[in-house]
Amino acid sequence: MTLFHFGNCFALAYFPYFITYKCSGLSEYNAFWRCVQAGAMYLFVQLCKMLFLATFFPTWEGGVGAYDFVGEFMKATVDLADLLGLHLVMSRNAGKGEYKIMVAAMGWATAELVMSRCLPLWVGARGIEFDWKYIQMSFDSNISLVHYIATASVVWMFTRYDLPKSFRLPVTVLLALCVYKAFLMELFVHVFLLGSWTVLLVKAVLTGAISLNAVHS
Amino acid sequence: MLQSTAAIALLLCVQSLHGSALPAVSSYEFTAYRMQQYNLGQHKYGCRGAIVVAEARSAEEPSLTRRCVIMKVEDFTTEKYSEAQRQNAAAILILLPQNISSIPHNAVESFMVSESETLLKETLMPVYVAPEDEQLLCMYEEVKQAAATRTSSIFVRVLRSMVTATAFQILVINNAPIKATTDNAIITLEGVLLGAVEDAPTIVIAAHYDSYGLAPWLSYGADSNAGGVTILIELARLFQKLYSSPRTRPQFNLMFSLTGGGKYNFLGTKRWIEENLDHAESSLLHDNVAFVLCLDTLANGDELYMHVSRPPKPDTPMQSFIQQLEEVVSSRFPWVKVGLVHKKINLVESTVAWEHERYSLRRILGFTLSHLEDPKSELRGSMLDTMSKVDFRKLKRNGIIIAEALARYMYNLSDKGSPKDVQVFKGQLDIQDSRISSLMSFLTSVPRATQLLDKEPSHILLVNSLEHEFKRYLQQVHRHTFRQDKRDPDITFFDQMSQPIVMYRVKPAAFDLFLGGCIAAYLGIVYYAIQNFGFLYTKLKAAVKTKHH
Repeated sequence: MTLFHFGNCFALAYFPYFITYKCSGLSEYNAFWRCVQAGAMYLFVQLCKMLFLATFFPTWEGGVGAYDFVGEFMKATVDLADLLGLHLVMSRNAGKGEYKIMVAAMGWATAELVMSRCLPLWVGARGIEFDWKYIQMSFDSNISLVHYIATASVVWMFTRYDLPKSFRLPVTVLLALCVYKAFLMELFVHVFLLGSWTVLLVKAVLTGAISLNAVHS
Repeated sequence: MLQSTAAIALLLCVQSLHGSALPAVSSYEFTAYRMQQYNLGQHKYGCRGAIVVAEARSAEEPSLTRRCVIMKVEDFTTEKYSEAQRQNAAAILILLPQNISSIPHNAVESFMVSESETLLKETLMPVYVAPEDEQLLCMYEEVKQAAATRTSSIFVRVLRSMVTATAFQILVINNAPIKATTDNAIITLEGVLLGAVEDAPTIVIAAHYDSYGLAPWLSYGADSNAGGVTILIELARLFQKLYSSPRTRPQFNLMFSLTGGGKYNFLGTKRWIEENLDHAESSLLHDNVAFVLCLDTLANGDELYMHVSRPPKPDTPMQSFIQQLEEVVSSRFPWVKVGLVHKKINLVESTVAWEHERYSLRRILGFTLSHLEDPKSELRGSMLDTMSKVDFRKLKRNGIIIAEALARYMYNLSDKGSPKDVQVFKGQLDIQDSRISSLMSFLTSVPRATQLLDKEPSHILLVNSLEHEFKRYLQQVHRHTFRQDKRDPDITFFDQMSQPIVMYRVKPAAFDLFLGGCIAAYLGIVYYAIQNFGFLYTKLKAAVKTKHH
């Protein structure tokens, strides 16, 4: 609606990242450049995914209302590359488990924030008209931060060789849930015809559930 | 995790304050049509402004200064309009329903009255008319609701203005100044059916084909004067059949004339008469003209008024024709009331009331037939004059009356002793319902305002089609294109009649501050949660453990 609104949305999106960075003790480890490297890895992984999707998946020619469950499922499977990227980042960083997770997640999420949210906010939130979707976008970025932290921790747990056998299954399930979260959200939207605020709520709940379980394990 | 809980709490909070869901979009562009603007002679008419940058308000609000007032057809009354003018409103936007026949009758009447009164004066305030659609109706309802809540207490008002109020900003994007155009072409069509003898007297049948209304782009003029044009074309078709065989050809020339610029003091008629009398070498108007019959507004009503500028003298062709008309009506359609209205031509007056006055000024006898008694009737120039105002049976009946009267006059049937109720036109020779309805739909498919007739392709097509119809039935068809003298134009039109308007949904400035405050609180919670993450986590774990036990 104005520059002030843009400032509001930007603050809402960016400050939690800043707070997390400062408070999680990463600054003590001079982890800034490692986060940037994680961000670069994010960019690379996204590029690879896009190329892969464009090459191997045909365009969807169905009606507007129909939803290609199988096709979208396959596309979501490609998001496994995200996990791979996170794993690579973490394995390159020496240090404690928590440190690795935080570095990878911070860098990844910040890169996503900059790439996918800054431009729409700049272009849209500064206009004269008001739309709730910009506030929603900023909230969504907060939720993404939590989501990526949870994902990174689950990936790390998955790759640890000293994990007790009983934890294997839940960890795998959580991992799958992380990957397919976007797909599940789309599914919910189409099946239940949710409004945008409800979508945000459901996303928050899901992320909360994943992270709770991750921390518990 | 606590972060997400806090997020959930805040979301719920905001949603409850939010109120109802907004189906409308945040910015919407639509086309609106501006009110007439023209200079006729020395007088200026219509609205002079076009640019609008204002917030939308309902007409019921007490304070309208520098706002755009949104009105529906029922709201547009003379009082509200003058109130808006008095308070220096920025603009008026009238929403016109797609289906005119759904408006109740008395609302239509009062709208027409306010329309004609509005058009008499000149105003600086832009007046726009837009066809209704979902988004605009949504906006109207919201603005009306906002007006209704203005009376509640001050605390509620402040809270509402900070949190939930949504205002609409109406913007006309076009920044160019309004240009005057004096090069409009007024087109008049003429055609003849030649009589059986040389030097036969001529009867002229004339009708103007343009329309008038509050907004030129939305004036379809069904009754005034698509009905007149339809009757004229049907008469041409029927009489062409009679004229085609030498045995049935009457001893009169029938001249048909379709004139443009009729709503602006019959400019097309004036130029056409000048062309024929002053510039043409030989013209049927020069010599023996029996009388001129002008058709104006004949598509409804159970009355027929014959408007003359001088009472017809006995033993003149006009008098005998009028007698024939009365005979036909009294014998076949006795419920129709026929009246003679005598109105002297007032040269001082700025508006010409009827088309026959133009002929009378050049000493050609004529009269106008109309179902309206008052020349200033609002039915002659309204946007709501659409097909819903037309009664096809009455239109056909009026056409039959005129055709029968003409036949009786031209063939001198009453002197020959024919009974009064003999039907000349029947069977093959009758006025066809399908022709009438198709002609009317064709004529009302395009807004026939004079400003637009020579510019838009669909309008040019309409005039070409009328010429084509003439060429089918009549001989010596001419198309006169009259342009004005640039130094001394009779009429000046202005552009920017159709504008794109954008409507934005905006929030008041206080809302931004409120939102900023909420976000600051949220960030505070997040900061606290992250700082004490470990502490909060152990507490939660303990709580979960105790629940399990």
